[in-house]
Amino acid sequence: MSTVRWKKLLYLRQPYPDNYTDTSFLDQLRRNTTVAKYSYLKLVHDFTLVAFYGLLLLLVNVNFSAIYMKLWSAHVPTCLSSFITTLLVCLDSPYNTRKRPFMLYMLICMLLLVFSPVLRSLTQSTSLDSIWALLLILTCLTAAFHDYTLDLDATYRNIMSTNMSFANLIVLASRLPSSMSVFSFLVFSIEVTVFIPLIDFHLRKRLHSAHFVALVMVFCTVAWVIYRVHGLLFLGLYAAGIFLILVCLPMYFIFLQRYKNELQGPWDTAKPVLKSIS
Amino acid sequence: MSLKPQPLQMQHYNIAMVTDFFYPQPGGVEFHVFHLSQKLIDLGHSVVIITHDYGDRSGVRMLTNGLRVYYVPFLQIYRSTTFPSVFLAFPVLRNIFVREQIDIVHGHGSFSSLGAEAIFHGKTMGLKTVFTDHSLFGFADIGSILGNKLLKFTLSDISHVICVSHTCKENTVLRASLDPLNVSVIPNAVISEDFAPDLTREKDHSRITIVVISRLFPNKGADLLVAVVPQICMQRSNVDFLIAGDGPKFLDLEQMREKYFLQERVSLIGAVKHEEVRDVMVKGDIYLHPSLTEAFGTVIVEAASCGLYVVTTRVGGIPEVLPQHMTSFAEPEEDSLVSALLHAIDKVASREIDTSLFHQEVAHMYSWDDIAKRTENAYNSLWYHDGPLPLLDRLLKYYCCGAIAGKLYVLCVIVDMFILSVLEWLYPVENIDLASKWPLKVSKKAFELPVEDNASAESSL
Repeated sequence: MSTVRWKKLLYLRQPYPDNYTDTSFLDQLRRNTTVAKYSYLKLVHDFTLVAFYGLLLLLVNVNFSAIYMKLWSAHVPTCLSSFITTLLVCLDSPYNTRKRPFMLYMLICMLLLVFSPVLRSLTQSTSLDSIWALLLILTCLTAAFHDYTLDLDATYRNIMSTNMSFANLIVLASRLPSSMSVFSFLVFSIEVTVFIPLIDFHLRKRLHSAHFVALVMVFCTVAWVIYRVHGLLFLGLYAAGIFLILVCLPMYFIFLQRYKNELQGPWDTAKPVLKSIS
Repeated sequence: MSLKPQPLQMQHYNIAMVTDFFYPQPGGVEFHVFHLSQKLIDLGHSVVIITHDYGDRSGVRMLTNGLRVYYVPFLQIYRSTTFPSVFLAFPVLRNIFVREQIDIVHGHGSFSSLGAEAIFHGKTMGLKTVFTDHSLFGFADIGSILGNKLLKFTLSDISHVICVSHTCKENTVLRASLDPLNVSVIPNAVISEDFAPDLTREKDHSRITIVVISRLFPNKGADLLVAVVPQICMQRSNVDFLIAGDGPKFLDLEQMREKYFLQERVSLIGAVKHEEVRDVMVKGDIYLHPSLTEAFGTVIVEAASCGLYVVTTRVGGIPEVLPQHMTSFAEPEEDSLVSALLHAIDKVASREIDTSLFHQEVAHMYSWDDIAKRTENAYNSLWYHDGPLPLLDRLLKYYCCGAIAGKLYVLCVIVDMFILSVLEWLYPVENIDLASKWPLKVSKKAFELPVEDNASAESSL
């Protein structure tokens, strides 16, 4: 072999075969340069958003069980939740912009009231097993498509998940005995799964600690409801689940980072640096 | 150079070039396939091209020198790539391979699903397979992840791979997990007679024209171009721009021209045909290439061959293509590109750069004769380390491609072999007519592969 050093150039006729592989092969390869170091606390905080939404979904479902098992009437939680949401909306928005949310709220309530007799008999011909299966699938999809808005500057867009949770709620509500309970249950559920995440988003923007207060309050509420409806065993399972989401999942996420293998090199499309985007 | 001895069994090969991209469509792969085929025919091989139909152009066509083109009717889905059906093309491909007594199946282009399919089926039929990669891919977005999986499938059992630049080789080796010794680097070339400088033109040395010929897409650096043009026009009053090409960013360029009142100095002439490229290029003094990704960048070789000084971004395989005295490199940043351009303008204006020798030098660097000879070398090497693989080893190669993908690939291979046996029963080889070959005309022109060492090559530059 010749003593001339190989160069990574195409215009020279070099005394090397075409399939020659130099020792400098792939020396411009960079690995994992854009990978961020995650801090455990930051991840726990991000997972509280998941836990929060999960708790809200759970609250709706457990409340349904209670109404279905005739533990309490559907109006009681609805009155409570309506009171809390109204209060929060009043606190959240300044006086002059309060009118629009309330008008919207009234409109939705009216529509639900009108449609509740139709909804009540919607799935009468469907077997109960199918309903539970549908409930599970739709709940999972709702959680998967929910906009958890880690980035507070982004706009809150949650069309997909809202639609799915509506479908879910309608399927559930159609199993209730009376039109009025259907209406009450729907109002409660929409307040919990649609309004509260929205309000939480605004809370996080203004006062971050309020988010944790809300989380703890919802956690306690759900714990009490589960204890009342399903007993001590499920309370334990519930606590374990929340522990899994808030403590173990962030750890698992950090553990998974070691499998990250990002390859960067001269073949990547360069990102142009422009001075002014006018 | 350790030239391998000529194989005894084969002196002249029957080669099938398979690609989705061919004439009448213009483009880098298309020209590469055509010129390479022509030169291989000159070297005494028999070449056919298999591509999908283009409009009413379907069936068998004959081009210069008995280059047969099979336009096979196939469903096209996106930018003239065929539907990736894995098995559907097998009957017709087998028929053509048998008809033409093919020894080597040579696929072109990562996007070409017809090429990928031909390589796969060719291997099942026990033929030698070669693949030429013309493009670079990242690893991050979903499109390239799927593309890379497909490439891995195609190249798992390939005999040899050719890449157009060293950067492209690194990229392909990573993408398809190949042995780098199985990958050759053979660049593109230009027909230097078609890109000769216009010696009759009276040069007006008071004005300098910067030429840009590019499809105006974001990945071709159209945004950089939009940012750079007004700055250069503001800082040098003797500079004009001539921008050819069309694309989604054409509007941005027009708006920029309106906004800075540069209608007099920036001409936008829209898309030009490939045969007109030279006539546009010779109107300028500097060629600006703001691209953000490029495997080889034939256009800058063409520009240098036309006697233009080239200002380009340092991306992909571009730094390997032209020597320092013909180019000036910039980072893909607005400021860097502006300062490189200003520097180049001043050098050209003061006639510090002598571009009159560029044409000769480029002709010496890149010629299709050389490329064809080197490709032939790659073909010769196939008979040395590519014996027929036992089935189990072949399956194992596919199996190692991935946890789920590997099993899927093995299934595909087995189905493919099953289809082959069915085809052999339905259409026995004896019943397929053999195509009569174009009379072989061995080129009298003896072609020697010139080899210089770096020292003499560099001293001559």
